[in-house]
Amino acid sequence: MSSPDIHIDDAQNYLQKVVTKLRAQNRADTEPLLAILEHIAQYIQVTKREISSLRVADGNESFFATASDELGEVVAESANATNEIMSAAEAIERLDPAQEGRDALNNAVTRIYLACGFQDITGQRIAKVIRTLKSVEAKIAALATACGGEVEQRMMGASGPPQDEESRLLNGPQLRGQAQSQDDIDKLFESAN
Amino acid sequence: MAVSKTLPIMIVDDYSTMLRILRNLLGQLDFNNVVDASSGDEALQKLLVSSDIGLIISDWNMQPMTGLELLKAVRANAKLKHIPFIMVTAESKTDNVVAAKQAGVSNYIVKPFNAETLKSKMASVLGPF
Repeated sequence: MSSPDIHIDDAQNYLQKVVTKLRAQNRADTEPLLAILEHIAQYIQVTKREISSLRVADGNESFFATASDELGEVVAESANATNEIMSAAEAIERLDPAQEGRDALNNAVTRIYLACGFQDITGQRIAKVIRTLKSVEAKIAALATACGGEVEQRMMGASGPPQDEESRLLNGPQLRGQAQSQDDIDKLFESAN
Repeated sequence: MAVSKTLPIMIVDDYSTMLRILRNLLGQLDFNNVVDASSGDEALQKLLVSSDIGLIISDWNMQPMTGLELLKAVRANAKLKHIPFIMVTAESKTDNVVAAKQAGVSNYIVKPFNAETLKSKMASVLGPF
């Protein structure tokens, strides 16, 4: 037999009614049960508060949708800037020094300088995303602590589902200082069998 | 014998910006017969239609077919297995280089790279130019 759909608010309300009724009976033998039920009610309250705080102040968008949008904009702005810089560079390549004046060269160089301004905007967007991620990380840590015990250990040590060989090799760019240089790669390539 | 500058070269990357950069760099080396593909699947289809491609330069981190999977597909195909294949990728871990070498990659360039590196790796697989 399948269980009926139970909303967490209904469960919490019912739990609160049970606690109130048991308290009204004022029986010593129900104290241990009351303590457990009140702990469960408090745990539900903390969990709901932590999850609901994962939304931005206006209540309309989640952190995750906002962060995704920002990163999407970063990709788009970086691509636009790169294309503008390359177009200006190509324009310089096509310049005939004997025919074109200094103005044409200055114009192309100015386009490059202006296009490089994208880094300011994308830097700010990425800073916003970093703040969001740190906030989410703190909320998850608080949730893990609220869950306590085995749940906390599993949440904090979670490494995701096992990866197949292809997925394991998809790590993307490494952090500066950790990435192997082309010289390192060349030596490895020569020695690998 | 020096390699012909009319050699058809296929470049594969899911970022159009990188395709443009590669095309420009190859143009500076006077290789202007360039075919591009924005995915491993598209690359494989184009290779099967026109197997006179003389060099493949491919990214690794693409979906749904990665550059490694494209390499393996090329090496598994009797018509294509002879084509030199250079991986140009941000994947710089030892496991990646070993896996690519075992799959039959001709050379390996790690991003970000410069024009000189591209030229020297191309020369190492094609011969001097």
